[in-house]
Amino acid sequence: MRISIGQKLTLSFLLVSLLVGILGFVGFTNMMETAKQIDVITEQETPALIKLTEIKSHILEGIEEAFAYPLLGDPVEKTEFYTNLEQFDASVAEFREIARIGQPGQTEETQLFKQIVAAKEALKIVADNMFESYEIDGRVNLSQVAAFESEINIVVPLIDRFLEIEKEEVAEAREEINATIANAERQTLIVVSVAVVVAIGLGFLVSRSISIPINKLKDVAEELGKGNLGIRANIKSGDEIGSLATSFDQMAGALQQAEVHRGILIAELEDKNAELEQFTYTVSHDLKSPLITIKGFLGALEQDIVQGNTERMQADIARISAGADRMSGLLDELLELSRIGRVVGSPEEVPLGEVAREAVALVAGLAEERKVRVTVSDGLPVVFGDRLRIREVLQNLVENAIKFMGEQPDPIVEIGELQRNGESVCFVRDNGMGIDPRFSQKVFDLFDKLDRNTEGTGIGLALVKRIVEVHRGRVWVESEGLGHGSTFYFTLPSKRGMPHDD
Amino acid sequence: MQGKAVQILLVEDDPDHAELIIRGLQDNGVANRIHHVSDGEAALDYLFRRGEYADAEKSPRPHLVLLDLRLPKIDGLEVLREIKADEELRRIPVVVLTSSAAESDIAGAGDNYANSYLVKPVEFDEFRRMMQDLGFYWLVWNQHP
Repeated sequence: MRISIGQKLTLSFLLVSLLVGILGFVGFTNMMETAKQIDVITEQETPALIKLTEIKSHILEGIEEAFAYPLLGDPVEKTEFYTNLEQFDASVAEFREIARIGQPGQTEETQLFKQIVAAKEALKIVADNMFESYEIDGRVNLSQVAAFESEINIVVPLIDRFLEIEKEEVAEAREEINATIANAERQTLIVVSVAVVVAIGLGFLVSRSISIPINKLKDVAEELGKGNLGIRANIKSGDEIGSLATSFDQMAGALQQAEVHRGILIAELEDKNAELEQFTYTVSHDLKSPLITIKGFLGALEQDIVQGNTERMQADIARISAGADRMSGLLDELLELSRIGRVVGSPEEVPLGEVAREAVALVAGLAEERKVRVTVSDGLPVVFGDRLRIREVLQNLVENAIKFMGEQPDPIVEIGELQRNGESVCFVRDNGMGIDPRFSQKVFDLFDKLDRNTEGTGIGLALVKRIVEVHRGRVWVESEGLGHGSTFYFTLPSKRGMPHDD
Repeated sequence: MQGKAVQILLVEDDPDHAELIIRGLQDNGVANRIHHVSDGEAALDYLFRRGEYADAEKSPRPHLVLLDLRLPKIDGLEVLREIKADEELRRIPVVVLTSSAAESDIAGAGDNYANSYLVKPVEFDEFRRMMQDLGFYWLVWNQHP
């Protein structure tokens, strides 16, 4: 699952914000709840209470006046009484509005209200009677007073009851508010706790998901720096650090390969170096030899002159000359050999058949002289390399074969190709003197020759080996032994794949 | 001290050098018989009396072997090793006479119990002097069993 670090962070913050939002929401709803309940108290309960108190005071005042009238005989009292009753009615009507009497859920209140209104009417009727009696009799009727009093004892408690109810409702509302607040506290606490835990948890997780891989990369980098190139970060997370780690591991892999390659190059270099040392040693040693000859016979010549030995003189001069020639030839072929290692012409397709025939043509003189037949089979492959050098290889091998024919009465040299182990191998085969198997590797060594009686300085085969190896091929000889002929095998690349100049 | 027929086996592949050495030794009248072979195989055949050298008459025991190192067929050090490995032959002093002054060759010869190691000088006078001293030392002064 690929989630980038940015996405992880954004998600975490969103989650925390969500929790904060929930918190806000909780607070808000609770506040609305509380406000509503406060409203009820202020808009409804409190005005209701005030109105009820008004109603009560009106009725009490009225009652006072009702008693005062017969006592004092002042008609104002009677008027006041009825005024109060009117005010009572007005207040009751207002109360009815405020308290929402008649609404569903107010059964007790509605009942009570009706009772109060009825009680007031009863009271009024009794008061009317009482006043009438007084006015007619000039004194109060005690039974009517008693009736009036009992009416009072009905109405006032009713009003008190109502007051109680309203006060209860206020208390209830207050309770609810407290409950709401307590609720709000609890919810807030829960949400805040959750939010804190989530925030810490997420923070921890996200930072871990960043810093742990980064630390791992740091450690791996240190290890790589110490030379331990096999180590890898192997971080599989799907985000940017994961892809960094992948690239990092690829880099480590490349470093490792480069190191291996370097090792190979160093080994090759060491080989080349050893070869060069060997070469230098051989060269200095083998140039010294003819020099000893030359100087030696110069001295011998002096003696010959002193002794007057003209025969010996001529022989010795001849040896000196031959020695000098040998040195010269050696130097030429050395130059040729060292050049082959450095410069190979630009590689091209070389049809071996053609080149073989050219090489044979070049040694035709020698072949005829020795009565050696040279054949080139058909179907020789097309190889890839330096045409001239490859021709030199064939020329040298054929020359070699011709020279080492020995006593063979019917000398033949064959150039051909065969398949061996799935690879195309070319050969130059002769039926000449063969090679002692003990020395089959030595033939290619610089300047080594198995039979000093033949001419040449022996550098030909070394040249052959060098050329073939520069083409990344192999060359070797097989012979069943002295008198059984020998076959020189070599391989050359068949397609593009030549290395750069060594 | 002269009078004994002294035999020398010269193992040298370069015919010119062989000629110089032979002349150098003969001119001083030191050696009567010098037998010359041109490669390592012939040298061992001679000493072990094999092949064409089977006849002891033809291949008398030499009193000194002069051995070049860089030989065709069988290398000089190998010849040395075989001589010194044989109970009879190892008594014969073998003097390595070569153009090489390489440390590895000197060490190799020593490791294989060469009796002496000489480097062919380029200067003719030195060469003659060396042949003289060589002959005198090994054939006149040195006692043979």
